[in-house]
Amino acid sequence: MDIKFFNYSLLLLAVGAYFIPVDNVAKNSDIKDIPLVIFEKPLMYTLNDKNLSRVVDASHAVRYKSRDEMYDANILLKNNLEEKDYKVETLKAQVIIKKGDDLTLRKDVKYNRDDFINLNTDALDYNIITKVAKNSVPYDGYYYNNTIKGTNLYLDGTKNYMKSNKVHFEVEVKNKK
Amino acid sequence: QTQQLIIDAQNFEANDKKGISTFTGNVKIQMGKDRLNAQKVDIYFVTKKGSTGKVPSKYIATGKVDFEIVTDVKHYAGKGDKVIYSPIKQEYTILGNGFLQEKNDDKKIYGEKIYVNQLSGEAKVNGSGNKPVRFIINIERGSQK
Repeated sequence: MDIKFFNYSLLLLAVGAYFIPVDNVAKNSDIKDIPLVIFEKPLMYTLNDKNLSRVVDASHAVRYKSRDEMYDANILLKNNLEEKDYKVETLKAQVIIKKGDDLTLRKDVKYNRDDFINLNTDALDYNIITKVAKNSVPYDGYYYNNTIKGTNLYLDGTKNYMKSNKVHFEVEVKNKK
Repeated sequence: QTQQLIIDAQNFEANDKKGISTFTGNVKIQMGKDRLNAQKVDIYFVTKKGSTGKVPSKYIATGKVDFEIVTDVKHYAGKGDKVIYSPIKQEYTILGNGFLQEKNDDKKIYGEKIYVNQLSGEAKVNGSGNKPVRFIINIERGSQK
């Protein structure tokens, strides 16, 4: 009796296992990450209803379903805010990954806001809409022609607010001595 | 003559719209031989005419402020509740429980408001109603023959 029961349960298990869609699951994950388009030396202009808002150039770019990867890339963002206290922001890096409005910049990252904020670091995350740039690694550069070094940068481009930790700051002072 | 004013601190915040940069947490300022330590320093920036550059117009240090000022003629050390430095006038103003010691000839000054001019090396002091100014000058007596 027990042997019969054992056989029947094996039979049931085998039939059940036959219908598990194993292959399909594997196939779907492969499809997602296939490059859809590869651009060599792309130069891309983005226009809005008023003017040119963004220029992107790179050595090459790969478009995936959920992200764009740009290499040796340079992104120029024009200031379309009402308050015109700066004209242009530029973001440069060896690797820039764009997912929606979020940019992930890695290796030789350079952030510039006209000529008064210039920061160099190895990693930076930036959102195109909120204009917030942040990282958790060391950076150095210039803040209104004052030398600045620190870590954990948080820069809000809309509110013109910046904060960071472990800061070394140098100001050039004209003395009458 | 230009000099580098160097600031090291644990935290930094800058608000461009207000034109204020704030350093907090073990703030150490160094300019030439002058030194200043505090828990918080606010730097007020003004925009340079005809450029986007910003230059500091005032430094306000608060929180356990102690400092050393070395001029051509004098060497001061001191502390106070609040110290204001004006780079344009090159003058320090010590406010609240001010103490200033002239290291050259060991004079000590206590007052509610003390000014030290970096160029001339002069110090001026004001007391307040219930806290008069106090000078301590060491006078060497003649030797007993």
